Amino acid sequence: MEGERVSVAEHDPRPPLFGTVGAFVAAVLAGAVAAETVFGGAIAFVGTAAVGIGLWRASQQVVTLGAGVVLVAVLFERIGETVWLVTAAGLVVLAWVLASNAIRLGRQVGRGGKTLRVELVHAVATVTVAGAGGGGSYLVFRSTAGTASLLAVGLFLASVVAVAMLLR
Amino acid sequence: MNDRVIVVAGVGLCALGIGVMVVPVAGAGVPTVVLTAFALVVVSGGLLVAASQADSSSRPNLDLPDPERRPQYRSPGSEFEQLLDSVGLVGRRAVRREGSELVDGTAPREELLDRLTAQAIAVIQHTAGCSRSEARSRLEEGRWTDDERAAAFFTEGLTPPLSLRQRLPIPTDRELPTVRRARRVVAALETRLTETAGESTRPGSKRTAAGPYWPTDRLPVSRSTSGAALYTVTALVVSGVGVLASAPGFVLLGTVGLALAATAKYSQPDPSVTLTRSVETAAPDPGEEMTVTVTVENDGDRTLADLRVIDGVPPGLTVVDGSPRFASALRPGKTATFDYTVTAVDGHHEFEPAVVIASDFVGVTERIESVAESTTVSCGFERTGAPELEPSELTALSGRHAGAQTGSGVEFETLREYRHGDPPARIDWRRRAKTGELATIEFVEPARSRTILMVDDRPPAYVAPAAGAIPAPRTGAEMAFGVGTRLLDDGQPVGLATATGTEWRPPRAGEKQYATLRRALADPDCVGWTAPDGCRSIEETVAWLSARTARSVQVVVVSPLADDGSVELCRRLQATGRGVCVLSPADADSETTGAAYARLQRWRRRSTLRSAGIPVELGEPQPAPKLGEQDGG
Repeated sequence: MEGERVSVAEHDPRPPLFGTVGAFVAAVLAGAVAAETVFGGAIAFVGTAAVGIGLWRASQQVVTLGAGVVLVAVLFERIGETVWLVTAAGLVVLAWVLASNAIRLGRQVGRGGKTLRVELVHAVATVTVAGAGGGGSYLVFRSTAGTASLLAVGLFLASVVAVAMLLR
Repeated sequence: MNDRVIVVAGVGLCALGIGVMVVPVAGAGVPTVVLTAFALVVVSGGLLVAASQADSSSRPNLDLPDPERRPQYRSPGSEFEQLLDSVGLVGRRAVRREGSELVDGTAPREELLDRLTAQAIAVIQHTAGCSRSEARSRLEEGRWTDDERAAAFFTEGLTPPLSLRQRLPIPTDRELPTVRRARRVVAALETRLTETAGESTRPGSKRTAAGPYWPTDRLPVSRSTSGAALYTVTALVVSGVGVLASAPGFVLLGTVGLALAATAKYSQPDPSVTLTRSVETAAPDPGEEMTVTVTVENDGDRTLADLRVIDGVPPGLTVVDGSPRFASALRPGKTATFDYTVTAVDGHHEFEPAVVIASDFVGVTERIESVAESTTVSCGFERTGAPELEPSELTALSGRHAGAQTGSGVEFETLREYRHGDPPARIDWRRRAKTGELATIEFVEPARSRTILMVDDRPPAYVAPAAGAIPAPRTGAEMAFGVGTRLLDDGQPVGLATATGTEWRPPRAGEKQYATLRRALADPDCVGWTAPDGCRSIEETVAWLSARTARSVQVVVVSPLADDGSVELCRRLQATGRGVCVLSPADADSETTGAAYARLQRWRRRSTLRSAGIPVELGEPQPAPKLGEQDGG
């Protein structure tokens, strides 16, 4: 007594391809920068793999964990090299931002929807803002020839906390 | 502390920092210990701020609607499957033995045995035509089936002997012998019923709708996507480490995250959009595919960097191609269009408000709103949709019958005193000639049978053969309309009621009543696509209907017989002296043990009703949706 069957379009909650590939590539590049030693490379590899698994399973928590591990590897390996440090950390942030946006897009719109335009706007905006913030700070840092006193850095940090209080 | 004070403090501290950098001598006299303590305090305070921002209250949980599929309904078979699973989980120890106590009173194995024993006795009684004690005897001796494993379920008790392998503590995917035997019992009972009695139990599966289909009552809402808190926490931790490790380069990293968070703070999305929707045809035929085109326009004066739209597909329509979800960036005054295809089913369908999600440039905060756009589709509920059943098959009292009133007719009832205005034809002229008195003859006034169609829309009736299929009450509304049409064509007055009491139409005849029934039964406000939150008791329903109808009215209950309450409803209606018959929608086939058990239960309910003199007719099975085949998008 089997009835006639009707095909149904299902919501595909996987992250869109552009964001998925972009985030993973950024994580791989950040991991490559961090892989100065075998130990650092191993940590970075674990973190990058976690980012990939998080994207595959559309898990925000796993992606965040993976990005955090890559960031630790970057800090550990490039602590004294400001340019590499900022570059790799920027790539980690980019990977995390792209992955998070892709996962959210997957849940809300799905891989079946047209999302490329939104993803491009988001990626460009993120790179611009992060580059402006990091680059601006780097210029200030370079202008003082890297001799900023600890007190100056502490005061900056206090001002940062004040700004953070507004971010609610 | 208001925002202005915080801003002034932040700018002041930043200026001081720049000052110290430009004139390093200014901070030369401060001891390192003091500086480290200062940094620790700042970092701790910052982390507290970040933690407060990460509080879930700032990110309200919100279930977004799922427009591709109809509401989900629970299967009655799943309840039985859960019982089988629980037997496997608790193992052999959870059997009530003498002197032992169970937390919940009944062990899963014993509940399984009780249920299957009751079901098996009923089937054996019916198929073998024997007494209850004889049926029990056959069961206990294993003489009811050729399947030895099925028979062993009742003959070997709740703890059958295990093989050596099963005794070893090795994880295995195989089910316990009791569970396997229980499955065999269900299959054997169904086979026996089908082969011996020639009765099909195939139709029967239950799913109950859970949760609202289109949860937009909490909108609009603004929420963080967790990015702001994470950026802030990461920035502060990295910067704090940099201060403590005397590595100013670390602080630079913090500025990246804070730049993103600050951008999000000052580019809060505020969508102002207009949505227009058009459908290919507003009155499609059942099963016809039609394209829905949606256009979104940015009415505001700011660019919407990230705009996502989830269109409000009515629960009765199923998306078969394309996607009702869309994402785009829209500049002020610009429009974007997307389309998708749905399949129409019987009923009046009103589109839900679309859900619009707007995010800032960097995706840290989002605002979710609903945008209403009235679009309706009316499908089916035509006279041609009547089931292949004659009124005489459906109603116990079809055609004309003697009414409670006297008046004009052909069958003599009584004589009464003449009243001014009585028609001369009804004056007893013989009596007038004999006695000189005027008297009027009263005849038995024939009356058409009046019928009430009662659709069972109680929460337990919300059953469906598969995920995404039409729930039984909506199928019942179609069937009720078909029956009502036939009865109206036959000249009988027909009324409508729902078991939850949300709808009442007194029995009437004629074209006007046809239109009334059509409008009411097609409307999801009468019989919804999701189960009502609550409803009156069966006693109250029967009393409510009794108060509105005479005893001569007969009731056609359209019910999936998915619970014992439906049987109780019919029997209580019958007890009021009204003629009752049942029309039950059929469900599609399913091969699971749970579904087979549910079919057996439905068969028992039908048998109970028939033995009480209540006729039961089954409808045609509905098409089952094939999930997971996405052609478009």
